[in-house]
Amino acid sequence: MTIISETPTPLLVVDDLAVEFATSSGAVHAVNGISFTVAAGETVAIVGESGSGKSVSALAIMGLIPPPGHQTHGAVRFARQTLTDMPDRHYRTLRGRNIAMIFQDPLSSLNPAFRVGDQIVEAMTTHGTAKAEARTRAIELMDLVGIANAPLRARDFPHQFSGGMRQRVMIAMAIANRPQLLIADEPTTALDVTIQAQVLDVLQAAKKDTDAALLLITHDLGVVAGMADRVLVMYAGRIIEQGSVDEVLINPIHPYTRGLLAALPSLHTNSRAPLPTIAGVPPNLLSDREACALAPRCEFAIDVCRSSRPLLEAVSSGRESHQAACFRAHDMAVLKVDK
Amino acid sequence: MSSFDEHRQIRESGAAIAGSVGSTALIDEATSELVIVRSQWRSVARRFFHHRVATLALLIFILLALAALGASFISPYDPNPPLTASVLSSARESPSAQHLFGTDKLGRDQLSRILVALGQSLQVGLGVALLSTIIGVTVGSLAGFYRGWIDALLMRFTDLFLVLPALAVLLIAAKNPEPSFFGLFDLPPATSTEGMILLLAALGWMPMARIVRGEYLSLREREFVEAARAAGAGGPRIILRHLLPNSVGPIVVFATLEVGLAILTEATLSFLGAGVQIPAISLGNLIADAEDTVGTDLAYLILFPGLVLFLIVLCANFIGDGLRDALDPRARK
Amino acid sequence: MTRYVGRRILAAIPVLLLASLLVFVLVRQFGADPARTRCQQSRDLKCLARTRVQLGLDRPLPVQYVDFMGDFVQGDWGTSERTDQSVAESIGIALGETAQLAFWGVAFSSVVAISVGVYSANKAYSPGDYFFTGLAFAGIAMPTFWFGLICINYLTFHLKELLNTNEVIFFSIPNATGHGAINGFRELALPVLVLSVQLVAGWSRYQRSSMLDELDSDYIRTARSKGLTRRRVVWKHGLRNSLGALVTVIAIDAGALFGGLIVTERVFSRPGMGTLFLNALGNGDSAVLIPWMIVTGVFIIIFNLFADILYGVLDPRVRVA
Repeated sequence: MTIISETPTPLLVVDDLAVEFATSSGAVHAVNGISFTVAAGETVAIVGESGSGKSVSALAIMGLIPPPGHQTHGAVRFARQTLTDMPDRHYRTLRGRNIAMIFQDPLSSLNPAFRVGDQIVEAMTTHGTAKAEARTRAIELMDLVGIANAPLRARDFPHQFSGGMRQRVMIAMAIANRPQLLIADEPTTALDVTIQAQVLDVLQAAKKDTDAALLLITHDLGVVAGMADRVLVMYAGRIIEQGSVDEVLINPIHPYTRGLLAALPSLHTNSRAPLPTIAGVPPNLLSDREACALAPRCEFAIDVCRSSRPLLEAVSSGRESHQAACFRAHDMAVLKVDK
Repeated sequence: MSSFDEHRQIRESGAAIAGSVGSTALIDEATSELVIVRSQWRSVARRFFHHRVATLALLIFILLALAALGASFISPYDPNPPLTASVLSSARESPSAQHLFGTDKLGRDQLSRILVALGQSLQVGLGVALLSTIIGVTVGSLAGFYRGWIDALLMRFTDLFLVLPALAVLLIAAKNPEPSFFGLFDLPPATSTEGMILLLAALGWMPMARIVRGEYLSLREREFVEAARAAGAGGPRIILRHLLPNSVGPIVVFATLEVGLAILTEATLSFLGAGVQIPAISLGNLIADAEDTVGTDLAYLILFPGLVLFLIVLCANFIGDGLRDALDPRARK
Repeated sequence: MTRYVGRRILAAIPVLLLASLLVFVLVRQFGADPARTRCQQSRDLKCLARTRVQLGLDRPLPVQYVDFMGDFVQGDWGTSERTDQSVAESIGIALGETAQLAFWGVAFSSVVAISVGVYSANKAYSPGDYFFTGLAFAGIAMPTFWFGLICINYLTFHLKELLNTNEVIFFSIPNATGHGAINGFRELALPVLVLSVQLVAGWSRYQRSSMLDELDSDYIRTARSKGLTRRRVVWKHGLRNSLGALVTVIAIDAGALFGGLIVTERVFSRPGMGTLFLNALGNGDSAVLIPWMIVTGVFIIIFNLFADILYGVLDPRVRVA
């Protein structure tokens, strides 16, 4: 398993991570052995549908997998420290300071009983900043993320803000300690379409201001195209394609990626024809059969797809960075993309 | 149709297909696998018995009830003996082999007396739970389904009683030696078991009514009610065949908790002198009678009746808790 | 905020009036005959007839009610039918006594209940949690009067023997000697303990349940992602948000205590509202009973209102509305 990176030691290394949830019906394999890296300052996007394991992967990096989930094997390394099995009191010093997370729903993710300014201040005082200094910086941060009247607004409660504004607060809170890695879990999914672009701009600016790397989790390919350097496509707990944004979006190899892209309407799409969809339903994560998880739904499936699992491999010897997990990768490479 | 109806239909067709034995069977369309679907009540029972504490409590409750029923077998002494010399001579005996719970100041065997009192408590507890459930479900059903003035009246009425301290109201009403139903006809006084049951039920049906009303309010928005209406079902039919069966869970749980509450209330009232009077025996007045033994060797006269009272209420509550978990496993404790 | 309070007070008045009517009817209809009480239970028909007219009992019930309420709201609560003592005075004194017991009971129980509740939620399903759950069930099923007597038996009497002292450590009746803080403590310790068992049982379960709900929330996850310790997250974020619900319950239960300490006061012979009620009931003294019921009703309504306000204070989302 080759791990491609552009700098000698990547900031974040995820190595064969697997997470299971113990349920009364058996173990749900939410994340089934994924490996990737994020270099300093890079923006990596993880794309997948609900249940693909992308959010759980993010929580695993933060060490916040909710019970009954637990990491069953693999390791997560950050700046040469191994996070897996790290005692909580040490992990805590990294959370919010070196690695920070922005969650999906800012209304439920902010404490409704505390003022917004105080919550941002708390992110800093937890890691040793003096209260007065934290207060000033909190106002600065609110300015940075574009909240007007910051000194006044800092005394307001989360429910007094609009959705987009709340997300800006979350971003401010996340970058307060200048983390090296920002993880954004579907930051715009809960927002109005019109606000989404604004918030993404804020996120972009925040990243630039702190020189942080960004791990962006989304199901929106448009967002990926606009912001990411590299993209990983997840399906049923595994990475089925990865590469630079150009490689994956312009020349998708895996039938699933192709399906996702084909489903996106564009200016050239025939408005009278139905949008193409991927037939079938997402797989049951309880079973872990030796087969390609997409096989039941894949129009290109052949016998081997149903009896063994394809490994993530380079698409062509020339482009090591673009990898796909498909037995028919070479066939797919020459297949024209319908767009 | 209600989920109970659905299950019955599935059971019938499943039985026809697979020829089931005991449990019901049905063919899963997607995977062609045979899936065993247990009937709802059986899974409730299974979940209940999974609860070790609740099951134990049920056992103890049944044992106590049987003991109260078979008092004369368990303890051959007369709970209210004529005070002959032989009786009086065995006064003040601490618990021993002959008198498991000792004797009181007049030589009467405590165990027999406690068992009789327990029987009375159980009658009151179960009677009140049953009666207040019937009244509460009726009123709550009407209020929750028809809404309008019945609902408004119910809410106002219950609000009114929330303002007054419950025990005080009960005591005032209980002290009346000749109560009547608004002057129309006479009611048994609270000093009799029937009177006590009537009193506690008359003032205790309101929480049940509110619960049923609440359930109906949320249920009536569901599709199966609309479907029933569209099929031409009228009010009573919808209530009886759809809303009521689906509210059975909370009703059963609350009724069980009512048992414990009624037993406690009756004991408190009789301790304060407002229940059955001597020579009738109740757990409350046994303790009241023995109040002056505090700090003496005779304190067991207080200990044992209270322990039995505590135990029966505790068991009733644990059973109620077990039922709550069994009927809705998603609800958190 | 003042508008909100004002509106709620206005809404409470008709309820109170209706309740007072209910009380009046209840006591007059179901209670003992005041004329008989005044005539010392004698069967002298002349005395009864005379007193009936004197007390205005021959008039129709609605008229009696209006007359009574007229006097009542102006502060004239009349005199006891038995002792000729001013009703207002008796109730005033009794209130003070009950308020003291209620205050200490609520204060002590709140602290214990919150601690137990938070601990149980934090360590849910652990042996410690099951232990406290068991205690809570015991507390709810416990007959107060029995527990009080048992406490007196062991903690007042047997404790003395165990520690080989002459003097009783915890008093079971109000102690006439000395009014210092220590004596006050020794006097109130057992009644407060007995009262607390009931309160803590219910409140700790409630706190545990609402805390478990809060700990499931997203903002808890956010707090942890900021690097806060688990303890900080529970005690600062979790508790703050779950307190609103519990405080409401505490306030409501506290209001009910003014008329709800009948058993405890009886067992420990405390001269509060509960004892006043029992004596009046035993004497058939409706002149005391009716104002008593109204006063306790007022306290319940006031504390319910207080609970609403407190909830608004603790949950900013409610405030703006």
